Amino acid sequence: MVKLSNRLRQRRALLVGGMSAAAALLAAPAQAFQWRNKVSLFRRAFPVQPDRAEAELMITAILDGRTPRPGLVQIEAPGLVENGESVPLKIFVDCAMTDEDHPQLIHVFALDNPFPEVARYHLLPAGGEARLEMRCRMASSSELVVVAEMTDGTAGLDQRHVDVTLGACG
Amino acid sequence: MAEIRRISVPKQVEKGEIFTVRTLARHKMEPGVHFDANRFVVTPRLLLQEVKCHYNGRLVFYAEWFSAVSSNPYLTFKLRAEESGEIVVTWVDDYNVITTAAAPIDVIDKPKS
Repeated sequence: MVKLSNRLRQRRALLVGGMSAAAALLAAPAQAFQWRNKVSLFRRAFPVQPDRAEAELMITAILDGRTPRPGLVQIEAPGLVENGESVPLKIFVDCAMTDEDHPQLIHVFALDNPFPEVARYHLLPAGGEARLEMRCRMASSSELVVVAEMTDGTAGLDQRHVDVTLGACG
Repeated sequence: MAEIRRISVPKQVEKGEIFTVRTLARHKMEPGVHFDANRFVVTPRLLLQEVKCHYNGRLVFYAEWFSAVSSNPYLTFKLRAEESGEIVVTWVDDYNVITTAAAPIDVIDKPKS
């Protein structure tokens, strides 16, 4: 038993030594391998590709079998933008903004982004009116989709195609 | 770069009126995918994740942001005027760094005509 544990200890020492040597090698450009960068480097090595099917799946999961009420959500976005870095988007949800009838949650999606979810807005009846204005990034020409979930269980959806000349890294 | 957090609301509104709150933060909203080939470094991700609005200490608006919100994010939303007081907008960072901007608002009763 003692022998075995000694052996294990030796092996562990070897392992630790090897690991520290490897770490020393890796740490050669010291700045490059800060812990903060590790996730980013991983993402750089294995970049996330835009997946439209998955983005559509996310929207289907949110709708959860509900048919979006037509005319509930109205969005406004330019048809063509030069720079995908800042695409202005106006959202309006046609509702009374009372406790029973207001959008609990508004999702914004850009379908061809590597990370399609842009923002989530939680509105409260104190808002008075469900009207928002924001700017989002788009990696390439695609649809901007806004889904609103109302407190009474219904949902609304509106989408607009935006042509992007120069895409941003969304 | 200086940190700028700015909100703008009308100075005086009538009771029950719906007014616009315009907010602007100066922030790079770094998504963590930009690669600097000279230094062999990926610019670390740094985003504003949450925006909250409190009207006299009451939460009235709440937003979650992801990497696809533009840099120097601009956001407007509506509020209903109920009482005079202060509107405070709070931005929360990836590292839980909290920045705020506040503006007073004066609510007057509707003149009877």
